Amino acid sequence: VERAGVPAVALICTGFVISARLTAKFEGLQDIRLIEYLPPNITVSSPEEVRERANRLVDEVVNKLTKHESGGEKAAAKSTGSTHRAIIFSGVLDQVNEFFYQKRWTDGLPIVPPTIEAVEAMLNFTDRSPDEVIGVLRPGNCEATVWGVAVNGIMAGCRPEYMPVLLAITEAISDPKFGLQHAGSTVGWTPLIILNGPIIKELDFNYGQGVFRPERRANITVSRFLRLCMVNIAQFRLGETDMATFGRNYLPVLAEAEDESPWPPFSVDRGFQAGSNVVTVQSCADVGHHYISIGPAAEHLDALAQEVTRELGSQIVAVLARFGPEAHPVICLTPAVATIIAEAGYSKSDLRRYLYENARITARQFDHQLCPQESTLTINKAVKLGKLPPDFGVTEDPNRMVPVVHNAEEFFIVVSGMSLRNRTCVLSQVSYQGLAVTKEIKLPRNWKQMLNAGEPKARAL
Amino acid sequence: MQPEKLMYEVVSPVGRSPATTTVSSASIDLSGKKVALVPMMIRNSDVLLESLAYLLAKRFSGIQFVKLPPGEGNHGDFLDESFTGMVKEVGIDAAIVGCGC
Repeated sequence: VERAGVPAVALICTGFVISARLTAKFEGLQDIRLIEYLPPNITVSSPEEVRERANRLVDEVVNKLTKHESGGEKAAAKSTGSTHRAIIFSGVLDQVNEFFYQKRWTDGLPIVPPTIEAVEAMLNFTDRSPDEVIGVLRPGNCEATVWGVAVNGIMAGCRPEYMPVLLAITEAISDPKFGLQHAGSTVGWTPLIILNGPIIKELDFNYGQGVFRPERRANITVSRFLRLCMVNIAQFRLGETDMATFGRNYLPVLAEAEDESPWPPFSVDRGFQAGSNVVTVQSCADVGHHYISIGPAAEHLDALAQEVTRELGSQIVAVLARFGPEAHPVICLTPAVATIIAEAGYSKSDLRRYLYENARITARQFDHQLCPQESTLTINKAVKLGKLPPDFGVTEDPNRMVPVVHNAEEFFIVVSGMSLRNRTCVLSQVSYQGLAVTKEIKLPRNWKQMLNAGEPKARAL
Repeated sequence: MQPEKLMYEVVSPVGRSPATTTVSSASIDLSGKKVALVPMMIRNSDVLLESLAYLLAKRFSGIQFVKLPPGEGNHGDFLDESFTGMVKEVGIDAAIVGCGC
């Protein structure tokens, strides 16, 4: 509203005032007119209590709109640029770590000191200029440069040759479609990184047993880089711009077991040729129960549909009606389960269609699960508002069965994990908050030569 | 004798902000003005804004209220710049937004 030159006053619940003020500042508004709405939370009050509260707030509303102190002053330019090569601290390892921790530049774990020598080693693995701006990261609206990516990669413990992957991830989260600024919402989601291409083996990513365990260096440090990037470049801070109710830790990179999959890799589903090095980043609200399936393909499919219903048919269906027109849960199958289903004649597309048609809940359940904060929203109202496809509202029958995604194509199928085990898991996604973005990983001209010249990357098992 | 500890000279991990900042719009007299109510899609948001409108109407003669439709976001927030365009199109003089949390 203020961007249109119109004075506006915002009522903000207790606990979100700092967040609102900082977000406004990052968006360019220095002195937002804010009024704190004291506890209890407006959603747990009765209408009578809210009307009584209005009586107590009206004077403040009037004052903010008619007597705001700095309103209408001239715009002021701000420059926070600094020379990136400047040494900001010198000390031994413990001192560096304490300095960074006190500055809130870490994820709480010790970091690897980002020295100029270390940054230069990272920069050897890209042909891009250190000053090149990869993108502007919200909510902080700060530029993510190639240099800044290298610095945060070092801190996370990444090896220099991971640099092309880090740059592609940064490109993905810079894309406005991703909606990085929503990562600070109360949902508390974390980004999920899905990796495809020969680079998986070249950089020794785990795509097999225990893929989500924090042990293999490439999987966990690349993911840690993204978290540090969010803290230091995007400016996410708990209690300020990160308002996660509970929050989740970062997930190790999900690399696909392309050689063991019976289907074309996930990168093909994202519009790339098989064998391309690509990274996909999207939000992950939850990594569901890793459920078991047995018997012939029909029984596996039945189990998959049941578990998808259970995982996505709970509150996450609210995402469909409240969070925008797309949502992309990941169905992560082991090579064993994928092969059984594929050998029964199912393509990925067939599997998606099967899940769409069989993973369903009643309209009554759907209504019940819609976020209770907004009591008037129903499945049929959401259809009328265009937030759900017409298929969801064909009748008024509360016992009709409705899907748990907007359409079959929304299911992302990824093959990974312990090859011979018969387990699957579902990773839910939060629609416009972290919508999937896929970017090609650009390798430096002399990639193979540089890799071969380096130290051994794979660990002796 | 203990070995000498390594010293590290380190650089900043923080991103550069090219942003320019501005300050809020000038204050106004609300009499005879058109004020937008911008509710969030959370329970009781509409109750709060309608109550405030009722109270303001008793204080300022000729004040009018217009309720803006919600955006496509989870709480009715707008995910792009279309909201700014709508504000200009509707031609309002002030706005009350909330309650956000």
